[in-house]
Amino acid sequence: MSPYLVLGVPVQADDQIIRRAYLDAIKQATPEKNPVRFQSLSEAYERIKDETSRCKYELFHQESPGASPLDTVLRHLRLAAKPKPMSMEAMKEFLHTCSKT
Amino acid sequence: MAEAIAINSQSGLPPSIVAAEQRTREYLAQSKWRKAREEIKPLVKLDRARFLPLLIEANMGLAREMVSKGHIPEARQVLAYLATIAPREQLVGLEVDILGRSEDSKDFLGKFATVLIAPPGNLAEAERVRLADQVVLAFAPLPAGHPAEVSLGPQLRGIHEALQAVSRQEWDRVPEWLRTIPHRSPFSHWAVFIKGLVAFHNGDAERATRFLSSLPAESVPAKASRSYLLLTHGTELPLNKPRLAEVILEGACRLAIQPGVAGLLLRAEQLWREGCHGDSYRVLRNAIGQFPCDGADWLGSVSEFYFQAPYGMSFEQREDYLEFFHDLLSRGAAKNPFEEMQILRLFALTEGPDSNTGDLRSYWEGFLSLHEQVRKSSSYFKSIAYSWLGQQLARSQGSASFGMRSGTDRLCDAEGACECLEKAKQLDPRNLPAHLQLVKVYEALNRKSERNRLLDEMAKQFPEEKLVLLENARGCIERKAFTKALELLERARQVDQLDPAVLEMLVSTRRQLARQHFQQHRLDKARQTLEPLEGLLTDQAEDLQRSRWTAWLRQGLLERLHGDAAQGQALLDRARAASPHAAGFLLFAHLTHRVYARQADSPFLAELRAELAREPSATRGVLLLRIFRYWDSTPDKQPWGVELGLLRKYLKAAAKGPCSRVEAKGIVELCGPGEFEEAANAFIRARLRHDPKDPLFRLFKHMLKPAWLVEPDEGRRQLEAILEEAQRRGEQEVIQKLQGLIRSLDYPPPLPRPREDIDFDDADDWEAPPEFDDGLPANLMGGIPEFAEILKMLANASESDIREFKKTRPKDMPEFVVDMLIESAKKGGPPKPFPPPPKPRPPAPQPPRRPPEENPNQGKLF
Repeated sequence: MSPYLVLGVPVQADDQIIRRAYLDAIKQATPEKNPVRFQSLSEAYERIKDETSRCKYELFHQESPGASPLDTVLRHLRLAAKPKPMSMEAMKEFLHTCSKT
Repeated sequence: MAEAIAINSQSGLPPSIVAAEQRTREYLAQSKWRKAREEIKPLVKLDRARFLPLLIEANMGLAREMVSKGHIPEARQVLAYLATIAPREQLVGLEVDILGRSEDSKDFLGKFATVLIAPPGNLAEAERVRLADQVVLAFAPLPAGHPAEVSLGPQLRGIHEALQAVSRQEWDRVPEWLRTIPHRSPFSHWAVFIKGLVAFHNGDAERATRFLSSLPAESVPAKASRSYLLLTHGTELPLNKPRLAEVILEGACRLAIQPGVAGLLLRAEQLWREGCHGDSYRVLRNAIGQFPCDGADWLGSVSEFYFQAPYGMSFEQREDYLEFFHDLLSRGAAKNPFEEMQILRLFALTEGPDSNTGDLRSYWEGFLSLHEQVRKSSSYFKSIAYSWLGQQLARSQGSASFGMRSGTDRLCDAEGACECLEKAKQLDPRNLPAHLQLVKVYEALNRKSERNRLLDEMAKQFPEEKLVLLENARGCIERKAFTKALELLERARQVDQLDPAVLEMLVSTRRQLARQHFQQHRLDKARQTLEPLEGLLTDQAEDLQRSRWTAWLRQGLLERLHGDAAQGQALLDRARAASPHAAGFLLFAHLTHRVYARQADSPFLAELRAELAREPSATRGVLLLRIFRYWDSTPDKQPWGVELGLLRKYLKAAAKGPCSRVEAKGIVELCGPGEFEEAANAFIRARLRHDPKDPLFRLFKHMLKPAWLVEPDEGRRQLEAILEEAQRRGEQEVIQKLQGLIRSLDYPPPLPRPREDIDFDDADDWEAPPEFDDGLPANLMGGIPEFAEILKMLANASESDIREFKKTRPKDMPEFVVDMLIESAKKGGPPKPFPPPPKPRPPAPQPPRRPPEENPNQGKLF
């Protein structure tokens, strides 16, 4: 998965922003509380922590963000910022659709 | 039939009635409601208790089918009929279905509310939940004055208001509304659902999963929850049920992306799973205007996926997929600059090592130019990119001869590499890897003045950079400017005191300077030069560069050759005492003497022969081989005919004695293919006699087999069988090596490419080799020093020497060539010519990617 997405920073972020995001994230996911997330955060940080790493990542990285198109979308959605709730009208429509399945 | 007889014997009914009943049951199982109804109707008059349930079931099924098709009036008629034959509670579910489709919500709300407030025993739990769901989904208040208004009205309102508060993100208000829902309320599962929504939108995935997973299975909230759970990782998509999968995914997309993309994604997914990768990409490309695109949103991620996935594909899959992109580019049909940029990057990074350097360069430069346009790349970025391209173009093409020492390897595109690396330097003068790579390219091209100029420039640009200091020191050593080299190495040592490479170079350079002084009879200076070595030496006897005994031995020999013989002998005695064993000391002394004195013999040879004849052992064999390999890899190496023979004999004898697995492994690795191949095979055989399934030694055996003896499919099967055994034994090192080898069968190593400076289009440029009746003329042989040397040696060789030569022929030299050389030497002339090679074809503009043509394992050991 894109290290920018894992750390929740834009592609244009500089060293400071990336470091700040990394430190904030590992405060939430400490190695004791969430070792898997901690490891993925650390790996993501290593990949884009400075300009050289970012350039090399952009030029040469060969990891796929998922195992298939759908897997990629789902991974993205699970990592991306939580979506806003549906509007009341959309929720009604959604619930009616669900009732018919 | 057996079942029919059983029914018959149990019921005592006539067979025709039993058959009719059975037909009815079959129709019911096949949802043929009308046929079932017609079949069973006459039977009800015969035995009401027995056949009425079947008639009710048929009518219920028919009514539900009508409801699902939207034929509500007809369904009402069936319901009215059912009311005359079926108990009331059995019809509630059907009434829910029919009224749910009715436009008159007040009508059904009132009726449902009445049922909901009735004592719980009157209604099955699942029906109660369905009823409650229909009441909530009406999104309307209960009719005024209805008996249920007082108890259910506030609860219903609480659910609606809580859902409203969620949609407005008024999180504090949600608990207030949910407080109105008691635990035993028919709407309690809605309260749980809403709590799950609040947890989900507040990022508490664990709590959300807990709530959303605990809902009644067939309830509407449970169905809606599946979309949320998909996003919290609490569920997987049921891809084997496409309709359901689409509904769930659509919910998730509606929530997190946009409505209407679930179907597309599922179609793309299905094609991808079927291996139609290009078609999968095309589905999204044709349907979504912005796809592919650069960005941090889901479309950016899925775009990235399609351009990153090929790196993990098998060779064939990747080729098929790249063909799709190749077609797009060749038609000039790239959708946007981002797509073109990614395709070019993909092409450049997946170009095999045998690729056309022109193509590689055009892909990479095309990518960079589009990158500038799409992402406004910095000069630093471009410098790194050009540095990589230079490195790729400077790849070695390998030697065209069959493993004989034929000088430096040719680079793929030396001039291109220089241009790219120069450009990388210009774009970022601080790009150290580009500078270092350029030094290597100049070295390979033998452009020494340019290399030295560059090294001077680097010394100013990176004065305290260890790698630069080491490169400069290497240059000085090559020019025999040892004093300057020592000064640079001391500076490198200050930068990194622990780097063993720096320490080794310091020891070696100091020693070379001392040897120069000894040779020029400046004995005091020579000894002074060696004095500081003491601090750099180590007590590890196996370190042939920095151990004390090898240092004393070398100094002793120099003293004996150029200085004080007595002092030299004393040092040699000291070295012998400190050496691991006499054989090691004698071999090191003999080889060192041959190099220092440049003589074919040494005073240690006779004693060495005697020592090697005594008790050969694998333990000693390892060190002896290491000593030989050490001197064989130095620039001062001599022709080692006698030494090779002695060591081969020693190892052959050692293979017959006891030898541990570790020792045998060490020896086989040091032997490798070539001069000591036979000894390696002897140790492999010895270990396989001891343990026939040993994966490590089976792997060694496989690797030492000549490539032409192993049919590719058979080779793969053998490797897979060894891998299975290695996995069973958990031998990680062997597993990794085998997996690499099996992978490399899909991606074979490059074959030597034709020289690029030959114009194949011009027939005049190609001249077929002349045919000589009496073999190749001697002057032609002068161009191949090994042949000339071998012929000279063979001309005066005895039969036993010739036999020895056959055994020790140069690595990869086919046997028939050896026979030709021997034959020619006997006749006193050069060998007969090889048949003229076919005229090389001009390189195709797009070189095809080849399947494996030869065993890539040959000649590669751990």
